[in-house]
Amino acid sequence: MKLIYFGMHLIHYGQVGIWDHEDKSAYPVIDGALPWWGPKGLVVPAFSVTSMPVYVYESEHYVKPPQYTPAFLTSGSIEVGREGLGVGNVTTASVERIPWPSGQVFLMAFYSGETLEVAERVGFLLTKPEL
Amino acid sequence: MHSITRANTLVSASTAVLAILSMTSCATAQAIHFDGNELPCIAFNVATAQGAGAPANLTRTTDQATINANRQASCGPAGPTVAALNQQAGAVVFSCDEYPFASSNQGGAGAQIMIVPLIENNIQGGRLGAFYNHNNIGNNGAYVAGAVNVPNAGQLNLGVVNGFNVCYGGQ
Repeated sequence: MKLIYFGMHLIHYGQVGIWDHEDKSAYPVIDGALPWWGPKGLVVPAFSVTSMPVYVYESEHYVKPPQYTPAFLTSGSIEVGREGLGVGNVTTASVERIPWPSGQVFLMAFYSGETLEVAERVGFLLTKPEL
Repeated sequence: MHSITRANTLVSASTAVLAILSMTSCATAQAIHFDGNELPCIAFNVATAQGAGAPANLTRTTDQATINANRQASCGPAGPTVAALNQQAGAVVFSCDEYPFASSNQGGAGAQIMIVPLIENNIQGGRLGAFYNHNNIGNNGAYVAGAVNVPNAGQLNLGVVNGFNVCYGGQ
């Protein structure tokens, strides 16, 4: 498992996401409780009004939870376009772009914190598409 | 000859109409509306804030220091009350909502706040973020915010805790 991104993100509205950077409509918003999955993005709960560490890892396959985010939250696949991924919180403009090859990516999300709503760290684990 | 002239006139007229529509499109700010059928507390807070004089025409700020300062100036004082409510037994987790938004240049001190169910705040934030992305609304980008299907106060479970308005949800 390789750490490919780490950053502190200002969190409002209790959420942090990862989505296809190219498609301006990729950010998923679903009625109901987080997490929200869309065909091109995932949004997970996070504790608001703090700068929160966000980790993104890549791995050929899943072995164990990332060190700082031991609790598994959700997993699934999203489609990535030609501009890699955006990660962070949109409303606070706390978003960074991560290079990633286009195609389907299998994505797992992890967190640490007493409950989902007060998640203090979030980790995303990406598996590269098979060539 | 006459038909060619007429056709040219029609083309010119069409071009003019398209130009006007294009100008109108550029001049018209994108709008986001929160639906009270989906987000009753959020819609109520937006509508009552605007009714009290808060602007519907907003501009986004992408300056994180400003956004953070806006949030602290508006919702900061309610933080301990939100935390206390969330310590109580119950299924509803609460959050503080502010209007104008902290991510707008009009947010900050003087914004109207209301403590609302976190799930409403999550969805509002998701819709606002998606709206910013989809419409390429960057720093100082103008947009219009509003609410539709706004419930009246009698249709909501409202209260006041430590001087802060609380919306527990719809009746």
